[in-house]
Amino acid sequence: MLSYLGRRLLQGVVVLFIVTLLTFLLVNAAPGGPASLMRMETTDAERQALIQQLHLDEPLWKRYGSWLAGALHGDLGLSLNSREPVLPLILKRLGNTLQLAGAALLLAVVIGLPLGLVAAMRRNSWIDHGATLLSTLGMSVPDFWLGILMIMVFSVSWHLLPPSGMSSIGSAFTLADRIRHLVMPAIVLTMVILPNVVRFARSSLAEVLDQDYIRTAYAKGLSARQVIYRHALRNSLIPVVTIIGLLIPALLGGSVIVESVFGWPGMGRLAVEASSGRDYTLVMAITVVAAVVVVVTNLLVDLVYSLIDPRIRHG
Amino acid sequence: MGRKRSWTLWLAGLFLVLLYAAVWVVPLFWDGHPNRPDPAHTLTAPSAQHLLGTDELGRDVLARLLAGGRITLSVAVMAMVVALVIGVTVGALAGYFRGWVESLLMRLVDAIMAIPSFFLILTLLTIFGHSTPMVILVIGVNYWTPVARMVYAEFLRFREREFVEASRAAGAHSWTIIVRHILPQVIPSLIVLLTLGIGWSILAESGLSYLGLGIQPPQASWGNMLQNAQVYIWTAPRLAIYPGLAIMATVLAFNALGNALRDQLDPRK
Repeated sequence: MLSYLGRRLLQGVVVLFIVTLLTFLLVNAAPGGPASLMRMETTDAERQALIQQLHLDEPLWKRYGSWLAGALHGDLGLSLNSREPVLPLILKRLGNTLQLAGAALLLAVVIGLPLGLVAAMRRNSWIDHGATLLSTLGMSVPDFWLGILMIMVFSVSWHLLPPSGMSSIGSAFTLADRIRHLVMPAIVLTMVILPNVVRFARSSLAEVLDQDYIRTAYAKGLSARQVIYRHALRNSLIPVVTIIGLLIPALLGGSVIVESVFGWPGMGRLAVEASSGRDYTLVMAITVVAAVVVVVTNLLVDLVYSLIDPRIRHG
Repeated sequence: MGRKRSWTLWLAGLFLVLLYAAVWVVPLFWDGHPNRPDPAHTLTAPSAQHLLGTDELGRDVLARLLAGGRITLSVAVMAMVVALVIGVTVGALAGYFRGWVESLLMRLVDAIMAIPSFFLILTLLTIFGHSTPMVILVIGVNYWTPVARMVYAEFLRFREREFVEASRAAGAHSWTIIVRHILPQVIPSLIVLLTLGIGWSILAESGLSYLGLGIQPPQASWGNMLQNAQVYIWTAPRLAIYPGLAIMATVLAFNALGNALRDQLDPRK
C-alpha cells in the first residue's frame, strides 16, 4: 500500500518537475519571452535595469534553479503588468474556480452516473439511445455558445437568472444569491464533462454485466434486482472513481471559457486577461498551479481507489 | 448495430461534403464581400439582398459564415496534421525502441497531459502571439499527446508479433519495420482519433476566437463572429444563432463520422 502510494507520489513529482521545466524553458527561451524585452525601445539604463531585475545575465539553468527554489517557497514571481506577486493573485481566484468546478462535478455525477447505469442495464432501450444522443450532443456543442443561449433565455427573455458575476452588486453575501449566480455557469461546465461520465458509467457496468459471475448469479436463481444491486453495481462503481481524476483537467480547462462567458472571477478568466495583456509570468504561474491541482487531485483519487479496491495495492 | 452506424456514417459524410462544397465552391460564383462594412445597412434582418441579414458593421452574415467556415475547417485540419506528425513520431519511437527513449518521451507526454489544455494553449499563444499559424500549431501541439499514447500502445502490441520478428530475422532495418510493417497496422485507429480530433480542434479554435485570442478580425471565423454577437444579444439574437449552429452541426458530423468509423474498423465492439 505505502510502496504503491510512494511510487505514485514520485511519479507526480516527476510530472510536476517536467511541467515547470517545460513552461520555464518556453517562457524564457522563446522569441516572445524576456529576450524580446531586449529588442524593445528602451534606453540603455532601462535595459540594464531589466537585465538586473530578471537576472538575464545569468545562464538559463541557474535562473531555472533559483525560480524553482522560489516556487518551492511559494514565490512564483511578479506579474509583468501589475507588479504584484502572482501566487496570492492566483490563489484568490482559484477558490472561485474550485466552487464552480465543484458544483459542475457534483451535477455531472448526480445526473450522469444514474443515466449511464440505467443505460447499461437496459441496453438498446430508449433510455440507452437517449443517453448516447445526449452525450454526442454534449460533446459537440460549443460551451460558450450554450452559455450565450442560456443567457438569452434565462436572463434576457425571462429575467430569471443574473447573466454574469458571482454576487449581486451592493448586497451582502447570501447563499441563495450565490447559487442564483452559480446555476448557469455550473450547468455549462457540467456539459463539458457529462458525456464522459455517462459513457464511463455505462461501459463500466456493461463490462461487469458480461462477467461470468453475473451469469452464475442469474443461474442460481437471483432476480435481476438482486444481481444488479448485490453483485454488479458495487464492482462497476469502483472504476468510476478514477474518472474523477481524469475530469479535473477538463473542468479546469473548461473554466477558461465558461468563466469568461459568465464573468465569473476565477483562475480561468485571470488566464485570459493575462494572455490578452501578454503577462507571461502570470500565465506561466497559472499553468503551473493548474498542473499542481491536477497532479494532487489525481494522487487523492489514487489514494481513495487503493483504499476501496484491494487489488490495486498489490497490483 | 452495423446497419444503424453505417446510416450515420453516410449522413455525416454527406453533410461534410455539402459543407466543404458550400464554403469552397460558392465563393467562386458569389462574392458576398465578407469584410466590407456598409454603415447604411447595419443589423438588418434577412432579405433577398442579404439572405441571413447583416451584422453590426453592415457586413453580409452569410458571406462571413462561408469565410469563417473556410478558416475554421482549414485550421482544424492543419492542426491535426501537426498532431499527426509529432504524435506518430514520438509514439513510434517510444513504442519501438523502449528503454530510456520510452521513459523520456512517455514522461513528457504525461507531463503535458497534466496541464489542462486551455492553459497550455494560452501559455503558448501569450509567448508566441495570436497569429493564425500559431493558432494551428498550438492546437496541434495540444492533440499530439493522445495520438502519441495510442500509437505507443499499438507499437507495444505489434512489436513482438510474428511478422515483425520474421522481418527482423530477415535482417530488415528498424526504420523499415516501423514504417512498412507496424505503422500500416495503426492507420485505422489513427483515422478514428484524428476525425474526432477535428471536432475537438473546431471547438478549441472557435473558443479561442470567441475569447479574442484566436483568429483575429476582420478575418471572420465562426468563433469570433460570436464574440461580437454577445454584445447585440438584446437587439439581434440571430447573430448569435447562426455561427453557433454551424459549429455544432460540423462538430457533430465529425464526431458521428469518427464513432461510425470506429465501429466499422473495429469489429470487436
